Amino acid sequence: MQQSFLQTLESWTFRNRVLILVVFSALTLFMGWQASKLRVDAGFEKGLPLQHEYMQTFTQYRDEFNGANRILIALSVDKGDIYTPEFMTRLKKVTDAVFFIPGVDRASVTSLFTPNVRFIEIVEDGFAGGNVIPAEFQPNEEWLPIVRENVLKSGQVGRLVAEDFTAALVSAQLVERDPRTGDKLDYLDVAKRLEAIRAEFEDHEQAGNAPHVQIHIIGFAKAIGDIADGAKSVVLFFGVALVITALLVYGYGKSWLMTLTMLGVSLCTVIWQFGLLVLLGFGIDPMSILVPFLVFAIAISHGVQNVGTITQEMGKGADAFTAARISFERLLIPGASALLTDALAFVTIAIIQIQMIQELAVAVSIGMLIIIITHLWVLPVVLSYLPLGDAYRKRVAGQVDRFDRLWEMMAVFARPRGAIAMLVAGLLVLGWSWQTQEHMIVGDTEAGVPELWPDSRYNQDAQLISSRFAIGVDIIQVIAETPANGCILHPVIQEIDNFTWAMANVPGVRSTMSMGTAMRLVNAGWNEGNLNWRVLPRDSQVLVQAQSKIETSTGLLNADCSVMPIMIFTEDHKAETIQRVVNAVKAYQVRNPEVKLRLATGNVGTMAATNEVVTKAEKPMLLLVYAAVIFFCLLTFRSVVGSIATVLPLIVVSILCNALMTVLGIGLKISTLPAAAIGVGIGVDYGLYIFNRLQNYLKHGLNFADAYYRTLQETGSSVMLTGLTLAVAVATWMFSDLKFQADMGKLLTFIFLANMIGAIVMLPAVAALLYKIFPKLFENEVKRASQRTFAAH
Amino acid sequence: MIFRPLVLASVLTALAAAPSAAQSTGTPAAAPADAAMAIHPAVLAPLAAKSLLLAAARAGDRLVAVGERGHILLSDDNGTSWRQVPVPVDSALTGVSFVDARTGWAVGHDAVILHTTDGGESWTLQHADAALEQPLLDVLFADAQHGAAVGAYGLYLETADGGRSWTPRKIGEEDFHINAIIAPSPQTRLAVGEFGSIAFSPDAGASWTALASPYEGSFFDALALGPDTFLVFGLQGHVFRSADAGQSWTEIATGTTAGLMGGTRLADGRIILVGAQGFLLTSTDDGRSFKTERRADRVALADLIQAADGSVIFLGEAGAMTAQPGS
Repeated sequence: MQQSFLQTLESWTFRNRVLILVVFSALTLFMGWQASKLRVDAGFEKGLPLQHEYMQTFTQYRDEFNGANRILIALSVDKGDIYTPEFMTRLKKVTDAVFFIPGVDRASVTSLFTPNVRFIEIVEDGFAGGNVIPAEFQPNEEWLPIVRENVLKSGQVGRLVAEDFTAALVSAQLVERDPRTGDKLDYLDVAKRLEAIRAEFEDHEQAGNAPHVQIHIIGFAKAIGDIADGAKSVVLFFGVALVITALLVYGYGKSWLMTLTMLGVSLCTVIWQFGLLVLLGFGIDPMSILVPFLVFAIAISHGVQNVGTITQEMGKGADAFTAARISFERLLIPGASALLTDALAFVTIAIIQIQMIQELAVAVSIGMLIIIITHLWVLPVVLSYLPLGDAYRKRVAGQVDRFDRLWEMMAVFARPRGAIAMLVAGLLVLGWSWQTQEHMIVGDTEAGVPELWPDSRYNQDAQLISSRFAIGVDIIQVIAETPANGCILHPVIQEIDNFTWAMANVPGVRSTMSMGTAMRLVNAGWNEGNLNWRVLPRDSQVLVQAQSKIETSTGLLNADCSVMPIMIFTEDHKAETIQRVVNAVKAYQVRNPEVKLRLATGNVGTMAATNEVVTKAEKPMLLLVYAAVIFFCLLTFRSVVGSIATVLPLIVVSILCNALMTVLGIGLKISTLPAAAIGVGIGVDYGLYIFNRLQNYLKHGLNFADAYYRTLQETGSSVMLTGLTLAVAVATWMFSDLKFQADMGKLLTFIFLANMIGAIVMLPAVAALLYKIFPKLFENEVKRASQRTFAAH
Repeated sequence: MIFRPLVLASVLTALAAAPSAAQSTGTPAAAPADAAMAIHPAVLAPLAAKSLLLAAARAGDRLVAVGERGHILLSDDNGTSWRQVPVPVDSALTGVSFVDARTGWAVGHDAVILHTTDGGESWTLQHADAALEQPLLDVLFADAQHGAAVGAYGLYLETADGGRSWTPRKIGEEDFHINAIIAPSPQTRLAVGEFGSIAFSPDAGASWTALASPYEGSFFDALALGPDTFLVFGLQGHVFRSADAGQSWTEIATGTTAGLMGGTRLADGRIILVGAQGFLLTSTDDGRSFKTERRADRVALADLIQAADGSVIFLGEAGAMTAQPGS
């Protein structure tokens, strides 16, 4: 059945070459037209696991408290302090500029110049208060001392003003969807405008002895802008990888024409990929910009198989047309099952409930299906037209013997002794990896935004802001849900205050802030600032006073005071720290169930959710990937041994990869978790090609070692070349401006090469031993395979 | 913009609304009418020594500091390290007084009075009344039997049996807060409080007379520099000195408007007053003039105490802090 279908398809295909090419070209033009509409699409929320319990809290309260999507702009001076006319003028201009950025919630803009920043002082007959910078302020020597005093009274030191008075902040919240139009916020536009503010108001050169004003910007919008900028460098790496790949393929196929044709068809794959993304309504996210390049690399790896077969067949004397037909026939089955396995493996990534990751999974899976069309079907047709004559045939005539010595060496692993040695080595690697991976980190290890390098401008800015201000940049907010007017019910507000203090005592917490904290301060304020009164009064009417000065704009309460976030600023966002805080919150809730405490918003809150989602998804994802791989191996080979021999090296390599991540300090997170699935998915390709050939020789009656030697002769160099081209394509990412791309590059390069080596040396060892131990199995499987073949012929 | 203080009026209304404020006969904390009045034991917290501390006393060579959330901390190394001890209440504690190395009392919000007979290691509750809504703000014991605790809205509790029973009484016409009580001599007492109130007792608290006040704002604390020489200080950086047992007062310029919360005279005769925003006032001439400084960290200070080895320990919103040498 299988064979006959293959033959029917083959003869139809090669009878209708022109039709196929015309349709293909037309479709490529169409896809190109679609692809031209592709937009970079950055979203804050699609990178969050919105299904997660914590993120439901976030979704529910983002409009009221908007916690996680904040931008902070700090103006700093390198000498003196902020109380100079020049600095104040500039701070005012920056505040105004931020106010007019589209997407900024104007009521949320906060700086010394905004009217929501007030001070309160205690005088003989009560409170006196006002704006920290009054409306009539002029930036001169008369007003500056007044502002200096007001700032001290306002309690903004460490918040809006640096603890050493060398910097001041402008803070604003972004609204992802325009409440009036419903339009989605263009983050890259916000990022551009923020950068424009920096360009306009930062001192670019040291002007004599005057203080040097620098502008530091952090927040998701800025980070994603920097990531998008960094992602552009991928195009350069793509170019470099393309040149290296071309050289490799030429060195193998000895024909520029064939090389360029293959690369050209591979580029068509990418065009289709982009086009289909647009048709599916996806944009390209800066975080997943690597997808098309990964698809390109995989496309080339399959193209290499075609080039290899054609070169070999022509070396044996066939003409281009015949060689292309043989290539088509030989590669369609293992190639298609390899690509279907890839597609299925990538779909399993969608188990991670984060929209961005799910889009990535779908996109890359679609890529695999495209490659089946472009490389297993269209490419042989295109190659069959190549005017490769006798001259070329002579050039490649000696090809088969080129690596003979190497293949003889490798065939050792197909013999019992070599196989045992290989297995012992494999077990040692496995043992070490298993030990090492125990310490694998979840989440991020470095300070700042993990997608960017620690020394990037963004992370340096984050570092500066976190060192000069008390607030820190890592915050997790727990939302307390209470009956209406909870803040004037003593048991409720006292509980919130107790919880706030309990959290302050958790190691890794830098400071805390809640309605309880604020009301205690205000209560002391009502009592002449006497510290003895920094308590929560028991009487509701007194609590009303303590609450009255605290506005919802502080983000500490909602309108009817039934929802009160507790802000927990952490020292860092290491997974360990996050876990400790989250556990402490949960344990507290168990001991004190009176007030409902809901995790969590804030950047650390989203990280907590993401870490949990990633940890939870890891095992099921790998199980599914392996299930998919085993299923396709069984389907392709109809051989238990072949499936085990193919999958076992993959398992060893993925555990080794975990160990490598541990050693390199790369955490398991949303950008690295897909690498494991991608590694396994693509790793199986080598095994599929190798065992397919091996089976072919076995059923012709060769003994195992000889069959393997012949397999290597035939497909060994194309497998190695495949591994190399894949590795080259991803290795260039290591030089990316983006840390997560570099991490991905390191991991994928390793996985691609390790899987290639595993397939060449470990697959035969496992298969040889299994067949040795279970001779019955060998007979059955080989016999069945030959029956299949003969029945078909 | 000036906000009129509504606090007094509204709290008085509140008190009227809760009439039968259980009279103080050592009512245990364990019988609250409702959850709003519940007093729980203090939670032992790693950062207790860095929490708001309001007062301290010496128990022999040991330092005993009290503060928010029922925190009581002991230091046996002159303030270098502190350890929190279990306390049956989590009410903010505002005052502490020891008569010897073992026997002491601490008072605070919810009108709690705690007693120790083992140098502060363990505390028993002698008095509590959360529904009263009148915090105790200071405590003074002259010997192991006789003491007084003072507090908000003229609250004055006295005991003659080491705190087994406490009797409330009024020492003034008005129900002003009494913020502090001191003993300039074994026979005299001085109490200061809201609206510039200064009350004097020539007979160890048996009778009280109101002194004419030089100031209408609140006094937060007072210091006796001799039997007849007093310093009173408080709101807006105001300090007044009297050398005639309170008959006349001289205002001392301080150069600050920060509220002054506490003070002490050191062994070397220097007088140090502390207050809001990290203000620190030092006098080397028996309180006739002060030099005003400000701590770099600007933390609000509540009080200070000198340890047995001469170290000066500040107490305030950042907990207990040993003064840097020279300051």
